[in-house]
Amino acid sequence: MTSGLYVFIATSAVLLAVGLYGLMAKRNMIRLIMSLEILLSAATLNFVNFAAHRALGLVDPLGQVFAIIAISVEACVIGVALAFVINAYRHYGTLDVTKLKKLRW
Amino acid sequence: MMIVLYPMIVLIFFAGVTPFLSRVFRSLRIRNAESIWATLGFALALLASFRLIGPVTRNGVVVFMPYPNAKLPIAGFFAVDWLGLFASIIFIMIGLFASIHSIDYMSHDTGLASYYALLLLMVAGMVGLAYAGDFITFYVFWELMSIASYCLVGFRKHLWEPIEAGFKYLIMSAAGSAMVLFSMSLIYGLTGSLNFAQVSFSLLKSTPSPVLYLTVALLVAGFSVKAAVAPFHFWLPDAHPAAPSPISAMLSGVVIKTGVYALIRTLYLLFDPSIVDFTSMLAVLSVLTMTVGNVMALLQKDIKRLLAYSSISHIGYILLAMSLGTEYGLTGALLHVFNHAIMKGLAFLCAGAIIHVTGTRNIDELIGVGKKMPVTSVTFAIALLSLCGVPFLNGFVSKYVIFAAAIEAKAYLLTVIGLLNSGLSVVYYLRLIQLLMLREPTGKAATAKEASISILVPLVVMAFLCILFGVWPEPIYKLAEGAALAAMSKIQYIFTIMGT
Repeated sequence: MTSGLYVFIATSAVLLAVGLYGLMAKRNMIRLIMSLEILLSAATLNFVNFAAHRALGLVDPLGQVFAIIAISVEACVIGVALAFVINAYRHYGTLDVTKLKKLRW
Repeated sequence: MMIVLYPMIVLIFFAGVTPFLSRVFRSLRIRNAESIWATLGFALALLASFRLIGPVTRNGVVVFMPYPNAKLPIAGFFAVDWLGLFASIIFIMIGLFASIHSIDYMSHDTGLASYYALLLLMVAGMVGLAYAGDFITFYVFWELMSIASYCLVGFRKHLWEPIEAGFKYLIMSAAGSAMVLFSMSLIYGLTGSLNFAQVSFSLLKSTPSPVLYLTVALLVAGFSVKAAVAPFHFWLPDAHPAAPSPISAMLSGVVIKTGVYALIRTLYLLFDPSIVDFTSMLAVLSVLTMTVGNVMALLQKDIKRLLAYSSISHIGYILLAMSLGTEYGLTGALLHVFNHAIMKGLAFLCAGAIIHVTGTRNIDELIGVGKKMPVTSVTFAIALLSLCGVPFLNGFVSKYVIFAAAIEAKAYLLTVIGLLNSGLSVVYYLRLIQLLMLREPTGKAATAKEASISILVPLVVMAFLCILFGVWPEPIYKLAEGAALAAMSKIQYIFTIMGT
């Protein structure tokens, strides 16, 4: 059962790396938001994983509670982010973040 | 004790009622009802937080248990000590001033019901995270504050600037929150708990390990985004000018201070400098932050952008004091958190009054505006001189404590860099005073006239506080000292909570 623990830790580390890479390299606003989701799901997966491997045959409700709360809070953040994307599209007519460069320094 | 929840209950109740009330009053054709309602909410919340002073002084830590019979609660747990109370009083106070300032400043905008509801919710989030006793509560209130601040930055959504700045702010800040969440999951994996006291107890005898360092690094990086520590500061100089001026005052005065509060709370309570050396991490970040903030502020032509960069440099001084790891240093940091909240809030509100009257943020177009707006210019000058660190104003007191603590801790290099930066910062503050107040008015500035009374009231009160705490710093120094002592005495915190 401990091998399962390490498999999931490795997965969440990969998700963290993918999310950070996406935030740095992607230009489309929707893809940026998707990277944000991946970053947050890395943390959520960690919570579920640690909760499941707390003690043999038992599942810790604390980690699962936090996982569910984190998912619902994420949904709010993503909702606000999508509202910004809609407004940005109205002003600029594009979803490319490199075009949003009126503000510099 | 229920008394812990009162400030949050008041703020959330007023926020929830605002939209309905606004509808009723609009049909009765009564103007400004929302703003007066919100101001009343802040005043009541401030009184409710003052009621906690007595119990906190007596007991050290006042706790709220969600289930009375549980031995140690796992979530929904609030524990208020001096550090949290000190922070929450600052948050609500600046919220009150911003709310009074908004009465006239925001009167031309639409959607005021949501504006005031968001303002109240943002302060509720800040108070909640200052009082939180476990990571789940902390995270929920942290995100409440963050989401409200994203919406407030992008409030004037018919303009392009708030949208661009708000999106940038949202992406960076949400990535920071995700890193904090990841770090919390690692803490949970290491200790099996999320209660601050229990986590701290489990980590007392920990040994340095890569996972522990990763946890601290992610925590510092995540909170640094909110605190606008260089190199995570890129959102701040865009977001502050784009937001309405009362919100700039809130962002610069208190929202970035929540990052500082979170750093002090988590690092000093959960980790020990002898196990994980976070102090040198903070020292490097502080030097970077001070220098970037001051150098960039020299180049600005936009009055609010200049003040935004100056906020970054002041976060650098606070980090310098935190990196010393001594109680005296932490006292200086918390004193500067308080003083900077007042003086930078005042500076942004003054800038807001000038922008409200003239309609421009460009310093070249504002030359001589001070001659036309005597009250605003005097208060603005007090704020700027206080930010420089002129004696008999509150900025001097906290800067003095910070550098005295740095010398006492034998951090001579940091002291020299800090003092050089402080000297550099005088250049742009004095330039602003010289251009705005000593020249003859030209262009748009020539037709300016003094702002209305509801804009001037918070300015005069805050300028008075700047002078008062400059000549008589003792009461606020005592409070900051108590807060620093509460942050440093982690064994007492653990046993007060684990014992109950």
